[in-house]
Amino acid sequence: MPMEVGDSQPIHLAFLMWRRGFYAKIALTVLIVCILLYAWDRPTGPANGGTALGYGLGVMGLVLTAWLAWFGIRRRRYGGAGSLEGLLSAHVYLGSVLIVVVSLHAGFRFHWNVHTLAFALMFVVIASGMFGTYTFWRFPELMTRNRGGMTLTTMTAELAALEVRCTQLALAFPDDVLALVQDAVEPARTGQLAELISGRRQKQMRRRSLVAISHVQTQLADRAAVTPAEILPLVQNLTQRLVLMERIYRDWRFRMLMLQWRSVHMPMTVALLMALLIHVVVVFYDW
Amino acid sequence: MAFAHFTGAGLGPGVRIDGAEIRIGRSETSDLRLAHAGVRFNHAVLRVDERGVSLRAEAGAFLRPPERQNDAVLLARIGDNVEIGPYVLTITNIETGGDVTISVAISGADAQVEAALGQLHFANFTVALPNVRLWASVLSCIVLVIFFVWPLLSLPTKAGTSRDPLATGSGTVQFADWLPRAAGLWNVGVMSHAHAGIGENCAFCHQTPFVPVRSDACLACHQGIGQHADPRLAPGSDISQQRCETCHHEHKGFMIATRDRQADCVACHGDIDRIAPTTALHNVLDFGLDHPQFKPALVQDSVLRLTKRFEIGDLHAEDHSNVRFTHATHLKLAKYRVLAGGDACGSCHAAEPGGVTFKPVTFDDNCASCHTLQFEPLHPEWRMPHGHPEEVASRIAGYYAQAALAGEHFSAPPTEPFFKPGAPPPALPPTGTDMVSYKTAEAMISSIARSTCGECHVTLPPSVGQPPTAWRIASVFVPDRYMPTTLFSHAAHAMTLCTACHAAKDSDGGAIALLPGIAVCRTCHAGEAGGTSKIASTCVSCHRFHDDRLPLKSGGSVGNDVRDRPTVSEQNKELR
Repeated sequence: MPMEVGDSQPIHLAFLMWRRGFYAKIALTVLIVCILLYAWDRPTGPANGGTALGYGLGVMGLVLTAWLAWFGIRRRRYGGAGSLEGLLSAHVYLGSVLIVVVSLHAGFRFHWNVHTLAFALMFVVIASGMFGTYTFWRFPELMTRNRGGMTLTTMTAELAALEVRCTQLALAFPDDVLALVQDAVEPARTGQLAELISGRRQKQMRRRSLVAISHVQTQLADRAAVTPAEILPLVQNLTQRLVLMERIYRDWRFRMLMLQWRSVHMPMTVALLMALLIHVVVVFYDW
Repeated sequence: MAFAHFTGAGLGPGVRIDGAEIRIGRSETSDLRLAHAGVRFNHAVLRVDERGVSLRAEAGAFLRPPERQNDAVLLARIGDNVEIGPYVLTITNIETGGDVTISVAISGADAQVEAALGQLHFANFTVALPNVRLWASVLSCIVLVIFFVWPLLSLPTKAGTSRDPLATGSGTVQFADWLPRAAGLWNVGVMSHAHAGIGENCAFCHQTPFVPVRSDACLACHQGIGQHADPRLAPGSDISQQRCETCHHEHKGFMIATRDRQADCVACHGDIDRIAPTTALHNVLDFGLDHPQFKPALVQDSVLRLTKRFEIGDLHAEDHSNVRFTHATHLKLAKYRVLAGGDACGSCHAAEPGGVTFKPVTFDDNCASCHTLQFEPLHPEWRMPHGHPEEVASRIAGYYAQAALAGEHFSAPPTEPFFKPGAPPPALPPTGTDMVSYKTAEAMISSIARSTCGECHVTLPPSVGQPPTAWRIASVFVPDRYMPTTLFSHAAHAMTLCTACHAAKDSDGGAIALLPGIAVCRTCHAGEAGGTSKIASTCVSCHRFHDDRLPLKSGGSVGNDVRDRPTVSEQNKELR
């Protein structure tokens, strides 16, 4: 459930309502003014970056981009002018407006060229930034709920204990059961980005656990000598391990998404600045 | 009061705990502290009562066997056990008073193996961040090389830039001619079809880097472009110092984007009688609301091809194209009446390729099938030639001479309408050369002056001193455009019937009776603002801006009276 916005704002989200949404209001004003100007403007031919309004919106977009990118440097400095919280607030809201300002600058005309490349990179940067803001807004609560008071250290220690216990309990079973249990409790490597996208290892891990659990259960039906009391501890351990494993996996996913959006945001910002520089030089080279 | 006595697992001689509830966990405040990472801070609560020992897990913690909902793990007999993390709690003794002894043992796993496994899991689920600066550098370099260096190297050099518009694109020199061309990566938008041949030869127009395209680059090809008006007569209208780019924009799609705002025209033409007091033009504000009635150019002298403008509806309009033709007469004929709508029109009027205007109506193609040009009732196969009046007399004489040589006789004409009693008998029919010259003169006078030719042509009688056969046919000039200042295209209006604009069936006058007035156009077209179900039409939708008779770079060599619009013939030449 989303957090209430207001005085009860958690401290890591206070930037969203910095000075009662000062920059949100500024961004909204800029948005409305730009759209009205675009609607009012009657250029020769289709709207584009070469008209008076197009140049105006372009300069505005350029200045905004440079200023927003400068936040990446400013946030690493201790002290300095302006509150960092306020700057982050401006970064988020004005960055979101930038996508409209630049679309209007381009007159919604896109082609296979360096100019559209700059737009595409800007879109990726803004989209990743919006996603990052979303993770900061939504994920901490989900993570806390998922962890249930545990930490990664305690969860992995408990997981290890469960897996050792599973292997021990499986020793009393035939070889095929032991092999399946060992397969199920084999430590899962996450594989980082590829795993984040595909979730392949998680599915594999889940499937192995369920295969082992169902196989152990079929022992009951197949062998008259086996009693429920002999099987139950292994089934319980395997099930608890699977539940805990998925909890750890979810935790890893949350942390991954909360941290990795910046691995897109930052390199793409630098590439955007390069494309933007080329865009400006080229437009005036062939004026 | 029951007691629980715990033994084993580093508890020394054993711990004796009494109380209704015994809290188990990692916490130092726990009644039974189990210091292991696999145990929760507060893991479970243990109760001892007459039924035995029951355990209930705290929120989020596990017990094995797990408690059922609203129930607890119950240890009632000796040997019953429960697992808390790696620990196993087993009942070893139950005394009669309810006191229990519980052994606490680390389950058989090797604690070191377990710890190592825990660390491996921890490492596997740690998020590894990539080297952001490295990726930023790599991406920027890729962008720089593909989108700047490559197109720059494949640009044509200045020296290789041909000024011949037909030799562009492929034949130009570039810095690195082994590179595929990539100037398109800099192209800001689709080039117009008209300039597509210039291709990636950017320097053809963009002659100097960082300098806007100069008009010279345009005028190198577009040499005939003219002024809008004579600057001496319309002050402020000189556009020779303006950049073409002020009004014409390239790279904006398949058509050149041209400035077409009505306000730009109305700025002067809304008040033209004050700005240029000698002008014959009317003020105009908006096609739909304030635009003068059309003034077609009617032929005044078909030899000199002079025209004069008359307003539509002008009862004194004169048209001297010298053809006696009315649409009304022809469309009453059965052969046209059976043809519906445009089919009747199309039987004479064929569109030019492109459809802007129509091919000229010619006698041979459109009239000869009915107008046979016969002149001798006894010989219907004899025809007068059309279009060559100087040959008519000799052709007719030839026919009669042939007849004379064949011994044919034609009756003499009566000298009196009625034969009077007592009068001398009528003369014998002439023969030989007399017959030929007599019959030729008769045919010439009756055909040209009265029936065959005069039916369609204006014919002129012989002047004083000339023979009575010297009738002439007045020169004919039928223009194919009557609105010289507009660019009307019939093809653009092909979806409407001809009769929607041209009242041909009732037209018994000349061209001016057939041409639609502004009201007809306004049924579909409104001014720039458009209107309900109306087509928004600005000034340049119909009018040309540049006047080709006023060269842009003339230096003042302008005709004396440029206020007169071009004659129809001039306009027709321009349009072709």
